[in-house]
This record gives sequence, structure tokens and C-alpha cells, in this order.
Amino acid sequence: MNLFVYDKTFDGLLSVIFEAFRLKLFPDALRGPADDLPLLAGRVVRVETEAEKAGRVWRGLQNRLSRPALRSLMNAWLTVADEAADELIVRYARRIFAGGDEADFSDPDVLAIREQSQKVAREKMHLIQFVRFQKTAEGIFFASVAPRYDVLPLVLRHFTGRFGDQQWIIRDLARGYGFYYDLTRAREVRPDGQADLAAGRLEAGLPAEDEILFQEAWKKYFQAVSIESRANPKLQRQYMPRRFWPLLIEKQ
Amino acid sequence: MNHDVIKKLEILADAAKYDVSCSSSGASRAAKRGAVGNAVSWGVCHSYTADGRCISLLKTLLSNHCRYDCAYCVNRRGNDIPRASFTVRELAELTIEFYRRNYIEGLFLSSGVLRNPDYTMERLVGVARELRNEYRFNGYVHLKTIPGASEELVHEAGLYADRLSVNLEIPTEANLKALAPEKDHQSVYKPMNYIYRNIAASAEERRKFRSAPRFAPAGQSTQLIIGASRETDRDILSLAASLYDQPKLKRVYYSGFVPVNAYDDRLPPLASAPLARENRLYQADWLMRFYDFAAEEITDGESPDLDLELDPKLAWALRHPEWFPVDVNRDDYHRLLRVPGVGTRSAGLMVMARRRGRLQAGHLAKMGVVMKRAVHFITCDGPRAATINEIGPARLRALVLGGGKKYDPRQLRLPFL
Repeated sequence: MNLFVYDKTFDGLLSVIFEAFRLKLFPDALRGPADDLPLLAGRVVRVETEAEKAGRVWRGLQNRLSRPALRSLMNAWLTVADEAADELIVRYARRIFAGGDEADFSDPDVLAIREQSQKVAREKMHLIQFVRFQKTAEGIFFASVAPRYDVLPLVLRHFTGRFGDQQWIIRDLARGYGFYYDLTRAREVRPDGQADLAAGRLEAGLPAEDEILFQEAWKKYFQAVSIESRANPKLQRQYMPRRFWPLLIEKQ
Repeated sequence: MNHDVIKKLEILADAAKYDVSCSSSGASRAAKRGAVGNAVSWGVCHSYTADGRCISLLKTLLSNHCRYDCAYCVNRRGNDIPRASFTVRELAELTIEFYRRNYIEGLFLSSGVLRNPDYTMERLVGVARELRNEYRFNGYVHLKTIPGASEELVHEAGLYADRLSVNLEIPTEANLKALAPEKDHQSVYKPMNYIYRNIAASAEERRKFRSAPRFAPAGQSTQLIIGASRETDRDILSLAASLYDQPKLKRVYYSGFVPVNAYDDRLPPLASAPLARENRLYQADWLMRFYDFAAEEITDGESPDLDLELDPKLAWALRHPEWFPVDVNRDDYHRLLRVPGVGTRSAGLMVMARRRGRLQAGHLAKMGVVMKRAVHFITCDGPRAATINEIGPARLRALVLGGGKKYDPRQLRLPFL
């Protein structure tokens, strides 16, 4: 069994593809630097991430894939922490470089890239749906989210477009970072960054004067519009999975 | 903002909940500098009620005072219920604050009929005007048109709103007259036609001048109440088909009648809302809009009503074994769409994938085809199941309904079926 070890970055993965073609040796499994290697690993290849190699592979993919297919590939990469998407991407890239067709959905890997990408697209949609801002005394709108994949950067354009005339912060609780929009652009903020001052005070909890009233109004509205005689909690959970409820004001 | 407004919201949202339409799709508005909001054409649901319906818009009445006395309506004049009215400003503020917190996509506003239709319509338009002009609100607005309102007001509403709707409520005029003596279909079709002409005219204008004003860019919709009167599904679907046909309407909504005024003996006795029937009608509606089915095909069975046990496409397929089997490697997209268990997405994938190679049953399952249903209606490469023509429609029906789940353990099982 051929085992490749790389640094678990996207550029690292592209370097893996480069090395695989150079060595004419394709990985059966990929591991990160911190992972334990199996006892009977067979051949182990350690791949250094190199911008030049990654760049060549990327340009090669750009030449062979349509824009939607490239986007699917990048979306699929975002699922890497949960499902072995990196191994999938290597197989897919090998197929594409061998002249395979990006739209041949009878191939399991082509179909899998599409499916992983759709999972990411759904999670992105869930963010657009379920972000709930709370207005602070400073007039900043603040929201916490905990998406399954790292999709917060993908929704920035949506939120800067829609809420372009208000300052907002969206914080990813699962990954410990967020974005602060200061009326001109959205900047990434880490816990030790500048905008954390604002975030810190937010956690101390200084809501705007009528914030609690609007939250109460929203909760009452949520209860008022459901029709008891048609209750269907299963359907509700199907559309609005339970994992989002802790951060939804109407489900408190 | 104060507790009075919350109290009003509770009453008026409760009064509006039986109007099923809540979609925010069909219009796209780019974000504007200095304004709040945009609209995305695919629509966004921000929450889901305990009955599993999408909450996309702040759906409320401006007032639930009403001078009409419609038998099917919870807000009818004779009912002793709490009544309330928003002021224009209260509602505009509530909308904008909900919107800024990402609770909603916009506003869906309707109202009980106050003094007269024009007076009521003027206030509805007033809310939209305030939102667009004072608050620079650029999100989604859906306004209900009050039957009988003047054309000037409907026109102004169309300039502010993304979507307009006029509810037909009861599918046939005779039944409408019986249940709602103050209403008639004429007062619904008149604004519907007026809106249709304006939408068409605005689209025509905008082909010449990009800056020409948009009129209700997300089109218009209507709602039919199902089960409050005795129309059959055949009547309902052919009415819907004629509305889609012209093409006047973007959507027809079907609302299973929730028995609200049980004391009124003009209404049929119902224990609960006919949810299964409502679901089948929506499936039939989808077949008409996305699967090239005609209303007559969907209801060409012996009974004028849809089969509640089977989805309408499967029911149709069982009545038409001569259409099958469909060859997934050869037949065109439209024939693929006729196969039960095949949707627009999987049919599209099949057409794309078969350019590269022959399709087998395993491929189809991966593409999202529901093989349990589809397998008896197709041929593909590899091992195949018995087709409808070999099993016969009656036995196949029993087979799909049985679903393999319920069986008598004392009975001999025949695994080849």
C-alpha cells in the first residue's frame, strides 16, 4: 500500500498530485503530519508543499475543468476534515489528467465530488438561512454560528451585499474565528485580533435597548404562525436540523 | 417598539397563518449603496414552523377587522375573536428590524377589508411605500391585492412590490357565492388580468430601456382553499392549468381547509385539514409545471379525484402501461421524466452521463433515482426487474403499496417479485 503524508493544506494536496505523477505512483491513502501511520504501511512518501508544484497542478486543472467543476472541487476540499475528501480529490484529478470527463456521472468519483460539493453548498445555504444577528448597544449586529464545514468565507459576499449599511460580526464558534464588517469590507478577526475588543464586550452582553423586545416579538411571531392542527415536528427537523437550534432565537 | 406591538403581532400573525404562500423567490434585486437588503431569486427560508412550513417572510395582516362574512375565514365579521390593527409606521419598523437581524427575507402583507377595498388597499400600499422610500428597504415585498380596489392603487402596489397576489379561494363561482355572498370571481379576475397586462407591459418596456420601472418582477400568485367546498381534484387542476397556461400566474397555492368555523353548516364536516389531498395536489401541480404533464392526463382515471395512496405520477404510470418500459439509454429527457422515481435532476444527469457510456441500474441509484419505484418502468443494461407489462398494473400497485415492509410471516414469500 502506498501512503502519502502531507501537511493537510490544499496546496499540499496539489503537491501530492504533482509528486504522484512524477513518481508514477498513486497513493492508496493520505495522512497528515500528526497522524499515526499504520504498522504495515508499505511504501511511505512524504510530500513537501511547494507553491510552484501546486501552481502547475492548479493551472492544469483550470485548463481541463469548467468553472462549475472547479468550484465543486474546491467545495469538496472543505469537507476534508470529516470525510476523506483529499483521497477523493487525488483520484478525481488523476482521472481528469488522464482525459476523463468531468460530467461522466457514471464514474463514482465524479459523482462523489459533486455530492461532497453539494453538501458544502447546503451548509453554506444553512448559514444564509440561520444566522441570527443581535444588536448591541454600540449598534453592531453580532451573530455566532457553528457550521459543519468551514463555509463562513463563502457567505461573506451575501452578507456584505445584504447588510451593507450596518456593521456586523459573524463568529464561527467551532473554528474560533470570525469576520467583522466595518461598512467598507469584511475583515477576518481571530481572538487575538483588533476587533476582538468589540467581540469581547459582546460576550459580556450589552444588547441594544430594544433588542430583547425584538427577540421577544420574533419568538411570539414564530409561535403564532404555526398551525397546531398540522403539527409535523419531523418535517421541521428535516428542514431545520436540530444542531442549529441552540443558536436560533426562536428555538430558545 | 413596545409590548403593545408584540401583542398586535401575535393576533395579526395568527390571523394570517392560513394563507399558505410564503415564498420569497422569483425576483432578484441587487444590493444598493445606502439601502438595506437585496432579494435573491431562489428565495431563502429563515426558519420552519412546528408544522414544517417555511418562514421566509414576515406574514401578517395589517388589520383583522373585516366587513365581509366568508364562511371559510377565521376573521369573518361574525366571529368573536381578538381584533387588532397595526399603524403603517409600526409595521414598517417591525419589518426593517426583523430584516436587519436576518430573521426574514421581507414582508408579506394582507388585510381584512376595512371600510371599503380602496381604503384598505391604500393602507397596504402605504406600508410598502414607507418601507421603500423612508427606510430605503430593498428586500422582498409581497402585497395582497384587495378584490375591488382601484386600478391606480393596484398599479402603485406593483411598483413597490415584488409579487402581487389575488386569492381565488373557492375554485368555482357558484360555491364561492354560497360561502362568501359578498364576493365574486369577477372581482378577482379583473385585478389579475390588470396585473398580468402591467407585468407584460413593464417587461416589454424594459427590453427597450433598462431603467424603465419594474412592475411586480416576481409575478403574481393565487390561493385555492381545498376541501371547504365540493370541487373535485379534476376541477381544481384544470382551473390551475388554465391559470398557468395563459401564462398569468407564477404559482397556484393549495391550502387544505382548516375547519375554523365548524358551526357554519354550509361547510362540509371535516375532522381535520385534508393534508394528504393537499400534498397530492402540490405533487400534481409540480407535474404540470416541471414535468410536462397536462391536467387532463393527471386526472384521467376513473375517479375525478387524485389517488391519496399513490403519488400522481405513479398513479398515472399504472394507468398507462403502454408508455413503458422506458429505455434509459435511448429515450429522450421528456420520456425519462415520465418514469416514477425519476426527477428533473436525475433525468438531467442521466442524459449527460449516457453520452459517455451505457447506464446500468447501479448508476441510476447513485444519481438519485428511486429504484424501488423506477425499476418496474425502465430497461437498462445489466440484470433487470419485471416490468409493469409483465407484472400487470393491479399487482404492481399492490406491490408498491405493500412496500415489502408489511407482510404476514406465515405466508410464503416470493423473492423474485
